[in-house]
Amino acid sequence: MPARGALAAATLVPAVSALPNNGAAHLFLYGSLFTFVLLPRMPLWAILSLTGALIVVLLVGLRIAGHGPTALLTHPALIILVVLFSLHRREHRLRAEQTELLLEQTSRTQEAQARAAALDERTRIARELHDVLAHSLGALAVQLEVAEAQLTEKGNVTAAGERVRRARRLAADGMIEARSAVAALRADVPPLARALGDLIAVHRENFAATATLRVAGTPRALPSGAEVSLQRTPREALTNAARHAPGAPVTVTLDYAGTAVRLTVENPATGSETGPGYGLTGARERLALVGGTLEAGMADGTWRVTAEVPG
Amino acid sequence: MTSKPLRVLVVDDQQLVREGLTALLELTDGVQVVGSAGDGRQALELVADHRPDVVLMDLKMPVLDGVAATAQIRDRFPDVAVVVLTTYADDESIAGALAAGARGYLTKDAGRAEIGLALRAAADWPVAVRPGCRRPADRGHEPSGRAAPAGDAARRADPARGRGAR
Repeated sequence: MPARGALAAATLVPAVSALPNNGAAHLFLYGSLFTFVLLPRMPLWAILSLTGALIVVLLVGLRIAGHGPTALLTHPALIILVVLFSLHRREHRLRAEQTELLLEQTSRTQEAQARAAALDERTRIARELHDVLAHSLGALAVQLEVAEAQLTEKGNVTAAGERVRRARRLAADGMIEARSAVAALRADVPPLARALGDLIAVHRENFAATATLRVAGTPRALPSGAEVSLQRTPREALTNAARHAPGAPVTVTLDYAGTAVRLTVENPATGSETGPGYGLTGARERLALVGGTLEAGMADGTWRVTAEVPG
Repeated sequence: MTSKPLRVLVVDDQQLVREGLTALLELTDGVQVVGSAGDGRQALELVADHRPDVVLMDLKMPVLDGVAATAQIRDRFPDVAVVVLTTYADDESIAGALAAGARGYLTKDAGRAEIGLALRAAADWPVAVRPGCRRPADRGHEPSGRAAPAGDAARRADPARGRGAR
């Protein structure tokens, strides 16, 4: 800055001496002064010093040339006006630059936040898919290993066949759960009520039974793990209802309570129910992993399965 | 296998996995299943009752998970070996379980022979962990040395050591 200031002073101060008698010198002086004030990061003291020096030199020049008081007032006043105007432009430019910088910083922060949110979401999806698949695939691998051992070690085709049937069911459950998990992750709205509606429609069609869905409270989004766990319960309960009480009416209630979501499946008890089988046991295990519970039992002639998850 | 049967406790929150592993281990020579538990807390009770040689421990369980249960077994029953069981070999909890004192890990797709070998290897790694014989450094170094597995061989609980011991 000092070098540029010195250069400007060296150019402007001699030039100003020619000012009174030269119109072109006016334009040169004011233009140069304007440019000087707007130079990036030019300190205010340099601007004021130069202005002062210019006025002094100008007054001396005017006096020597024998100009009257009008000229002695007008020329310095013009210089001051040009400097004030330049300072105003300089302030405006500085503010614009600061605003631009601020906008750029905000934009960068927003981009970083968006990237972090996307990464969090990806991590969550990966973990949930991992958990869903691990549950079914781990059990499937064990069942198939037992089936093979039964065949090769014992030649026990019956026992091996039973293991293969369980394995097939685990594979089927795994496929349904993977699909449910993906649907739950993809959906913007809670898909639970719709999934239940579909389940009930299929049950109605397959078993010619009256099946009703009731939703209480305001539906809200749940973690996909909880959604998947809750969907499994009515699937198992409806299968059991069809087995033990074919054709009997079934009521499924989805209750979005304050701190928990409760799903109840009810049908008239026939007395042939024997407590939770593999299906409901699997559903209970899955619910337990998301902090949920499952109760199944008979009360007042009604067989009732209740699943609950926090959230 | 000429030695006395290896007494094993099976711990997994899935009934089908518990039953499957129990059936599988009962078909394995030299292994006796002394019980099965559905979560870490039950596992601790059964360990206190049966004092198995090895606990085959699932990681993700309700109530008390496999890592916490492993740490408690290590503290309360240092002569009981723990081998953790996981679906995927890259499960992040494996490192935690090994640091908590597990002597190895198995994936659920492990074959019967591999499981038997791993259990035997974990049980045959006794010298350093018998009460009174344990060096202070063992706790930190031995399990964590296994926390960086490489390749297929690493998901067994050191079968080479198991073979050498028999």
